[in-house]
Amino acid sequence: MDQALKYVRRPSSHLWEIGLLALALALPYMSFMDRSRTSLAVFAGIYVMLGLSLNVIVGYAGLFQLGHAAFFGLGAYTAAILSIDYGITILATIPIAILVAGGAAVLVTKPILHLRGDYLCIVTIAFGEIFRIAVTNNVFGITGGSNGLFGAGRPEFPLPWLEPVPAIMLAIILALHLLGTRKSGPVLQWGGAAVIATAYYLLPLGLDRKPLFVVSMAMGAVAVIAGAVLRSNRASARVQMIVLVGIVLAFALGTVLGAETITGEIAYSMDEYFNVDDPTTILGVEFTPVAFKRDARPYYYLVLGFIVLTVVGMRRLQNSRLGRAWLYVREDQLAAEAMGIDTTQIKLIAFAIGSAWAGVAGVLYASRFTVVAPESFNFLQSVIMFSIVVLGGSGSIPGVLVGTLGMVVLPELLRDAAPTFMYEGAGPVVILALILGFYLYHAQDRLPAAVLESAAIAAAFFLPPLLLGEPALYVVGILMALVMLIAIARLRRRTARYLPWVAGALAVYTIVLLAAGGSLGPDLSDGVSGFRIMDWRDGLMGVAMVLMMMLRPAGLIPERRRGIAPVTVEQPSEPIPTAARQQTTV
Amino acid sequence: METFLQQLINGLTIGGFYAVVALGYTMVYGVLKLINFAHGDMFMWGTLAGWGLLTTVFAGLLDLDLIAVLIVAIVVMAFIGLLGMTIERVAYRPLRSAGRLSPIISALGAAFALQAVARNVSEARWRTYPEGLLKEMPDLHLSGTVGLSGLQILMLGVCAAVMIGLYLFVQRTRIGTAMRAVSLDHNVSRLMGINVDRIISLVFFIGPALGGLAGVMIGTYYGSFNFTLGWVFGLKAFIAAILGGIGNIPGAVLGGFILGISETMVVAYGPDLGLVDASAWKDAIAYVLLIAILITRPTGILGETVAEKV
Amino acid sequence: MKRILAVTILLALVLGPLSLSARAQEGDPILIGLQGPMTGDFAYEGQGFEQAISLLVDQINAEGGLLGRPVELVIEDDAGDPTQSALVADRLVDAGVVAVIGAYNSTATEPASEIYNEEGILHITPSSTATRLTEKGFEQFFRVCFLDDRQALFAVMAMADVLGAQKVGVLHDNSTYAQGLAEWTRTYAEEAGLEVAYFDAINPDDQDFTPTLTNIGQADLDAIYFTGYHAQGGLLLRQTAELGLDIQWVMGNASNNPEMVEIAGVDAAAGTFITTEPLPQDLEYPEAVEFVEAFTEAYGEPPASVWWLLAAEAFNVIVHAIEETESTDPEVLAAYLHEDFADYPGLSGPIIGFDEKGDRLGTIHALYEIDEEGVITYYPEQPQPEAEEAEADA
Repeated sequence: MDQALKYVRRPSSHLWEIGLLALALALPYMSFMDRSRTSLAVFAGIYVMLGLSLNVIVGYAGLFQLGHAAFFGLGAYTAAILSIDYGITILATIPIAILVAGGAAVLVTKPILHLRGDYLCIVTIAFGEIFRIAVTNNVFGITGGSNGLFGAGRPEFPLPWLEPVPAIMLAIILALHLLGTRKSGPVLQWGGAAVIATAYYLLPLGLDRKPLFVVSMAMGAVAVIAGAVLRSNRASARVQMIVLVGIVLAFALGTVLGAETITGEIAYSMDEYFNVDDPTTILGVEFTPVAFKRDARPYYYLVLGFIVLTVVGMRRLQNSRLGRAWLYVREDQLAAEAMGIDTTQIKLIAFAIGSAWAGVAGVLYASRFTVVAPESFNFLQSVIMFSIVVLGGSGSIPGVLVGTLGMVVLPELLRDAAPTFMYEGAGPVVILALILGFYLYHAQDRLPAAVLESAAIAAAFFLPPLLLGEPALYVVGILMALVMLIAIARLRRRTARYLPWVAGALAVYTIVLLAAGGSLGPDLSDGVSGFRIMDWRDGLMGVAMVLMMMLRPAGLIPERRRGIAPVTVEQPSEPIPTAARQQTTV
Repeated sequence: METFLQQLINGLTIGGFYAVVALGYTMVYGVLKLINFAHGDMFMWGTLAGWGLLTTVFAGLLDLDLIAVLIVAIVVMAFIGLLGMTIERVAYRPLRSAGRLSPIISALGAAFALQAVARNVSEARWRTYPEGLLKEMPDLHLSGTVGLSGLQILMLGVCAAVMIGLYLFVQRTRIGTAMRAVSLDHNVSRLMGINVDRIISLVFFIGPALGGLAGVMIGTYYGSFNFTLGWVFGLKAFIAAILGGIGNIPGAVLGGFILGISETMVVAYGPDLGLVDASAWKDAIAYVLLIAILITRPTGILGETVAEKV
Repeated sequence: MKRILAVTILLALVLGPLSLSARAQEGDPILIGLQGPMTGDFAYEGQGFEQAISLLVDQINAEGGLLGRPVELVIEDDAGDPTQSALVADRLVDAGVVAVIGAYNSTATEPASEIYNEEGILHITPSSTATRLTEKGFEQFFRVCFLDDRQALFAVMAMADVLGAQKVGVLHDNSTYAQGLAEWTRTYAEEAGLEVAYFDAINPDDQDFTPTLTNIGQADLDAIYFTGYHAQGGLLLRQTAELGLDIQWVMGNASNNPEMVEIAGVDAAAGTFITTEPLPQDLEYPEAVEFVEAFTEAYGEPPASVWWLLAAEAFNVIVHAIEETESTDPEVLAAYLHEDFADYPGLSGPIIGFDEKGDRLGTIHALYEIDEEGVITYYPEQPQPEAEEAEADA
């Protein structure tokens, strides 16, 4: 019964997502986010977009794609060439990048779609490599050879309140609002949109302080988010309206009361983050171009905006007719064909959408780094994108986020790390929390077991250095913790009565270390002084990839299986490994 | 004509190396339907281990270089073979029932780890085999300036011996038959009394061991290598395996030679045909060739058309 | 329940490591950044940078530091990749460095130079020779290496005047540096009336260059100039000998490395010419000789690549500027380097000064030959560049 219920989609509240979004919005202003970490966040954001786009191909449609970097590169090169040679402002190249990357995907994948899985995998690798070789060889004389292209433009946008853009903004707000209000009445839709739009224009227009547009944007965003929260909690229309109006009033009041400080700070941040150019006249309308500076924060919000857009888009895609068609093709191509689905067409669409969106990520990349060079689009990058999707859980959107943390963010953070850092400051607490959290998540309601296991691993981790006070043993501790992690995972698979084993192993290990500790220390510390994690980052990443797949073959956050109807799940006569259980088809 | 012959010999030599490395890919794919991305790096470890042995333990034996190289090759084969078995045990076996995506990640992870170790061991430098290794072999002059060096003859000879030996082993022996059975169907093989796990282990011994052999051969022949060798050369060998029809031993050999010779001919005659920078483009041309062959023959040149299992 | 846990894990993952290693912003030591490829294909060069510079840092600190403060080297790995370069540049800015040495390849230097320029940090590259880098008007960007064209001119003169070649070839490896040098060489060779009968690129990932070499052998050249790196240079020489071809190789300074001889084998390498900055042992300056001795003592072998020396050179220039100005303000240092810095006895020859773009003035290339013992030796006959040099500058 429980098994069967797992396959039924449950209505989900958006609390999770909204909390995450709020956290993401606040992130660049947290104390630990210095310049390089904000920069890293932008970079990771681009990879989240890439992961999400590849997820369409690998996760939804179940196709292999190990050449995704080529389409990322196509977007980046398109943007750079248009921006450098033709002076087109970089964000305006997005539609062209979509056309180029998506079109290229259609052209090159059409002839090869009939290939079986592994052969498809190879051909995509081949495409990736051909792309890299072509741009290295300065194909058509436009890619700059191995130098790449220098000096792509930074994002520019017109200052909104001076220009006819308001109408467009209004339309966007309206569209966003409508998107979320399908089930509410028309009054609420139009009323809410009107409130938000008023809120957006109220402050700068009413108070005649130009920099306040940032506050307006924040208010618009808060209003939209609040509206979404309320709707997902099924608040009545009246409550929704009251809250929206309340938000607007609160903002207005806050601005009036704290006007000096707010405007001061914003005027300052305008200078810090943007170059405001002289107005130019295009088609008789006056535009004031505002360009990004190098600082990462504006980029962060730009990329975040695109990620939100992508996530919303992907989620809707997944639940659409097309998404279900992909699901059928992925699970059983023959059956899908029998049901009248044009599988070739469906796969082609997956490639086109995924690649086109990778092209958008490419534009963002070009605008952020201003340099586009072949090395950034090599096979390794394709591998990283692929790993992001699979490690996180193929087909799952949160999985992509987690995968990016693992494949992009962690290796960068490891630059700082020394073996000792996990033992200092808040390190132990974090590691304990991680281990515990992981096991609780993994243990499927066997709380006592999970706690005990976590404690055993933590003990393996902390005992040697703590008992002996020898810094060199930190490395031993880390290794032992890894061994323990694997041992427990294996033991759990074999038998339920693992605890004596774990305890015994721990005891033996502690005794051995206590006995050998004195002579072991000095030998190790020589080795440790020459040991820099920096040199081993990719190796550690490799080991982590293997470990992750051993422990969770379906990824960290596997996609929730969606069945068309609940079905009875066979009870196997003998216990089957977790890995196999997750594979049981519907 | 002389140039053509010389280029043909060049191509054959390169192709021979591709073929031996491709054998490892193809065998593993045959039994497990798994693309063993770590194979290239295991092969590079072979070169590395050969270098390590020849410059330290066997440094005194270099007067008898043929014997030294022979012993080193055997030791390296055993070592890389065991390494292959270990990787199979640790990184692939737990994932055998986990779908097709997970083993790829696991294989790529193993490749990263192997490469990082090699980079740190070799201190990221180009490392050189002892100078003048196997130089004292009789050359073979065909006509004019065209000829094969003694080393080339030896290398081609070993390549041929390995391929024929492996083919006979798989076709004629009981274990070889068991391997072929496993590659057809694991479950049925098990019912026929074949220890599937053991056969897979054996394949993971033989494939990487051949890679290790190729590693030592390449080190001896070219004299130098660095840690990126496995990635680059491995990818090429892999393409050779696919070209010929992966899972098929004669196919891997055929693919290796086709790739080696076509690459050489592109470099040799590309400029005459109006392809400037032919050397720089030759890899791209190899990939185009691959795609073209796969479009027309979706399972490679000698690959059998297998009906998709329902 | 599980979801909340998942969120907790997620948060811990993100926040935990981040909050752990907050770096000290203000500190007593003078921080100097080194950004280079410590991993990746060029790892060898980056690690050489580190060896060369940390040797000098240790020396300075042993003598009581700079302006009474110790010097600390902050090392970041960009793997030669522009993306990582931008990320580590931000990290160096956060660390509060006064000056940065790096990156190795032009592609990685470009995005980093933009960041250092915006943040007002002194930036000296030891080895990035793309012309574009100094054309952006960055006040605080310098390079201690020479632009591609100077060496190209020198190489053409060496081939024409010293070797008496009429029909020459140029081979590069498609890398930024080698390609630039090769194209300049072709231009100058054609200007000088030589016939460039062969111009091609090899793929540096390859192990076997026999097809290309057979082609070169067919072209019947008087000399061929290879502008790529020493590893491929060594393989080219070795395979030339194995094919029994008679090719007169001239190598660019990226191949100026004893390892090339090791890879090729002494017999195959002998008789090859190299155009490069003078080797330290051929300079009369005591600084240069001392440095090579100290380096050999510390690491057991002399510096293997000319770029390592130039990295040390960049560091010395920074130290010299700090000592002379008694300031750690990058703006002051940059102004000093632009205006007052002259005739400094460098490790790679005297530094006449920097021009307004930040490029090193003058040229000091020399012709070397690999002798019968495989040693790279100063060739007695040198081309005389003065006349043409002036022309090229004009």
